[in-house]
Amino acid sequence: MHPFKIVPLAIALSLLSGCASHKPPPRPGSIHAKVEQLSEMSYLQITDLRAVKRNHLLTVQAEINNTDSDNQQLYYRFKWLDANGFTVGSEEAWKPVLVYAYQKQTLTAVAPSPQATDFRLVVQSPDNTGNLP
Amino acid sequence: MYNYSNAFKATTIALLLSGCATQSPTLSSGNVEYGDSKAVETLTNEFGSTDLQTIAESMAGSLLQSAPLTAKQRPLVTVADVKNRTSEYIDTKSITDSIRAKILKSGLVRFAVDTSAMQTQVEELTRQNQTSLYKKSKSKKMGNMEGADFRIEGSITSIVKRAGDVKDVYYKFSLQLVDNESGIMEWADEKEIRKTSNKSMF
Repeated sequence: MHPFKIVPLAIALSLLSGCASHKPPPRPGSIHAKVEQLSEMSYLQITDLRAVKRNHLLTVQAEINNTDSDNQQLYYRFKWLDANGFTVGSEEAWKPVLVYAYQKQTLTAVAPSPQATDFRLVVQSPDNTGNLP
Repeated sequence: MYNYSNAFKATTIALLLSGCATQSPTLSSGNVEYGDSKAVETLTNEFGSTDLQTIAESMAGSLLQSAPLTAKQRPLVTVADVKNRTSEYIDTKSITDSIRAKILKSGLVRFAVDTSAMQTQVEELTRQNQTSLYKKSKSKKMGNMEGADFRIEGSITSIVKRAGDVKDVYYKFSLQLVDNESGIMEWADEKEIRKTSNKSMF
């Protein structure tokens, strides 16, 4: 086949594949199932997630680990879900947190109401792309 | 034949590209757009929306987990003053309104009218009882208001420092829960915020 005839086909395929994600779905109960990353996070890793009901309210603690020698800026917020998967309460504000080099930072949050039985941690770190050592 | 083939390819690509472009239901001059009200705002290092939202979320979460509020079945709380001790204008009522809204939505706490709403409450009761406009059986009676078990009060302070082009602002928001009957402070928490700006171009 002439190479120039392949180009439009390649463009069309790339446009179509742009909407499709090939990542396998995360395992239920894993950290990845509870975390929504809005950008590629090379240096910041969520290493631990704990959730417990205290005084009728779901309390979540997440541990963020910075594996880089530079400080990293992280933006995060929690999404709270009821037993049927509907969101509980209004959207939380994005919160900035500075994670120092090689620091383990803990984030804690309390659900807005007793109806919240599940959560998602939404994270974004704008300057956190690069090749892992 | 060559031309037909090229035209077909061009049409296919155009259709694929146009598939992503849709007409939005907007009427705009192009200069105004809606943004995310929950976005992190760092336009200046004065007190901003992100500070208000973070303080409200942090304080509401902490209050809902506090021992005095969880010990009682839906305790009655009122909001007293949060004093602004910073050098800038901050609407502290807006902060306490947000905290109150978040706590109320949990359904675990009730709120009595605060001092700022008391005038309206008294006027409403007076209108229902003393204007002869309402049925006696349907009007809400005087003398049935409930006194709050606790009151929330606090303050916001700031420390501002400048060194050359660098300006550092430190805010501390303190909140307390006081038992109205005993006068005992049952709970207190603080939220600290640091914002640093640099005017230097290099």
